[in-house]
Amino acid sequence: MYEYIISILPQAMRLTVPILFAGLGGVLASRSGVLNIGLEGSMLVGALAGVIGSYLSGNPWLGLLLAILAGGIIGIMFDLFALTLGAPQAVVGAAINIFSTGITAYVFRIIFATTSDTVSVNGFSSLKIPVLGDIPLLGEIFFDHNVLMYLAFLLVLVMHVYLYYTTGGLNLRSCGENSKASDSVGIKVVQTRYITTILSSVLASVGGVALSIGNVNTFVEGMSSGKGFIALAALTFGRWSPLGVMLAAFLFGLVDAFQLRLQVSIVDAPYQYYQMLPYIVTIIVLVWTSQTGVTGPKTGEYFEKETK
Amino acid sequence: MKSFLRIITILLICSIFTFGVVGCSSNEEPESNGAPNASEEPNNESTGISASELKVALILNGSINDGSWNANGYNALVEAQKNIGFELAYMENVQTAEMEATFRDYAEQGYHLVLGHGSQFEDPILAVAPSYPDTYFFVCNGEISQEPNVGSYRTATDENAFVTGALSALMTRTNKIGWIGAVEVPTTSEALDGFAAGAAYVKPEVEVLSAYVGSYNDTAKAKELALTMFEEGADIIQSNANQGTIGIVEAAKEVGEGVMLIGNTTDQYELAPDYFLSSNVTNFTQIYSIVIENVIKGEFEPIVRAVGIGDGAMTIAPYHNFEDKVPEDVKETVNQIMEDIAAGKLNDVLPCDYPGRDK
Repeated sequence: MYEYIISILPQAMRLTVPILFAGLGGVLASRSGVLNIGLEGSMLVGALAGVIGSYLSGNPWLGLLLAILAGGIIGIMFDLFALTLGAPQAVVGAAINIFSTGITAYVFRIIFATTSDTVSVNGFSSLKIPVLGDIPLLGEIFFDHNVLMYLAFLLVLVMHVYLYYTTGGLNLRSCGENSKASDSVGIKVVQTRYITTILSSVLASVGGVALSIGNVNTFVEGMSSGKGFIALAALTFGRWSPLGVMLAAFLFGLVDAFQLRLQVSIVDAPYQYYQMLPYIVTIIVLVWTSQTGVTGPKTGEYFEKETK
Repeated sequence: MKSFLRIITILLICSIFTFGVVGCSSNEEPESNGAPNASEEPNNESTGISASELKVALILNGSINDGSWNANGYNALVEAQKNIGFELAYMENVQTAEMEATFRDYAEQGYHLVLGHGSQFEDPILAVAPSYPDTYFFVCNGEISQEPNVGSYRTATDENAFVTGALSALMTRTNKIGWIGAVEVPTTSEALDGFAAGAAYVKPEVEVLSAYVGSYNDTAKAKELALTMFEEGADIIQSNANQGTIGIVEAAKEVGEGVMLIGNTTDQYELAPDYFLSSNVTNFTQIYSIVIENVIKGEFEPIVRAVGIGDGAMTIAPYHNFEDKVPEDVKETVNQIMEDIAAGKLNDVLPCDYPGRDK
């Protein structure tokens, strides 16, 4: 049992991180009233940008930086279409997902000009935290991962404090609750949403980095493979809050790790049953914990400042 | 200001589409100089066509740089094009909803032969073929045929997997070997059956662990699966996981010494020279060349045919860095198994039924 826990939990943590980053991005966007379903696309762009940055410089940190910039550009695209021009946010998000699939494949082939060989770049290696990493059980589970993992959980804390214990966070949340009222007290709604959407795209893009140079040290077309959408599920499931999203993402990661192990150790059932598990567990937990009257922030509305 | 932005938007959207299209498809110019054996003389049969006039389209379900199934099919056609000298177009990443329209499109454009690279294309071809009697449709790895213009070759997947299964069983030190597939489709499940049968044939006590990633490109999950198998004691993993193979390679590198991998469809040794013991290799150039030559001769066969080790369509890759580490008697056993499969002696042990294989 001890050994099982010590091997399944770190695995669950690794599967959690990309979803958690994208999910935290989703929290920022939705709390300010923006429905960003382009997280999947941002992830893919981030995954590629990370590899390119690390390939050109040999340094994964510069890969991360390039991914942050690329994610920011995707966020600005979203803002321009959805917040300035008033295109439906769901449509813009979907367009970004499709766009990202095409452009990442295109750029990847131009830069690496390859059809069958793969490139391997420097990635983030595992970083054991001194002292804490030596604690039996806990050390191995929580403090022996790469730096992106620590960053993700640190962000959960920072975002929680910011959203719920500062004026800025209150203002941000008010944009998602009632944009007209926020505007009437002088909060710059569009400006707030611009910033949160860019940050949400950046966070999803860092999630992509966790998939590429934080894991397999290369890029594969379509490697986000739906994790951005799982993050959207985790977002709703975690009630649009950083801590909730963390728990939801971890549940997905844990059940997924469990599912992979079941497949390996028990052979005699169709593998689809195992792969259903994360989603079945989600449904059960949702039914179990659902309360009437709890609704999330109002997302997807176009806000235009009234002019006299 | 607003109308200016609207115009910018429209321009941006147009450019997005351009990127999308450029990223997904392309036409290749025929290489006129690379046609030494092209049958330039006029054909006697009315249905034949000269190689330089022949227009061939290839339709793929995935991307041409997946390093596996689709990359191999695409490279094979480019190779065949160099040898034969026809005009080639291809379309990649064609999803189920677009398949029929894509076949129709090429047939409308007057392509003589439209190839679907994978069994996914069976139904769309059956739907489209009757409307275009002048176009031949061919499925690689399919099991459909229809007079007069639909045919398919079925790769006898289990033969190749049988050989690597036997090789893995002979080489394992832990008596546990692993197999990871992308998604369960006939080719992957047959490969698994063949792999397990091959292992049991030489060493019944070897345990085969198997699992599917559930996706063609989820590298993260493939890596975790491989790590789990190594942890469970497997020391050799055969990958049938398409792009997930990248994740499996990464897992092997993390575990390090003592583990080995077996690749699929093409010699994947270069992904990690220190870990690849061998690979299943399918020679699509051979398969497609036969079909294309037949069309040129006007002898297209609307039948299903199984092709395997005996036809030169399949083999296993060299041992490369493991050349010295694989004992001679293992090499001999493996070669013997391949000869026996080619001669049809192992048909009783091979798990699958294919058209033309006598049990």
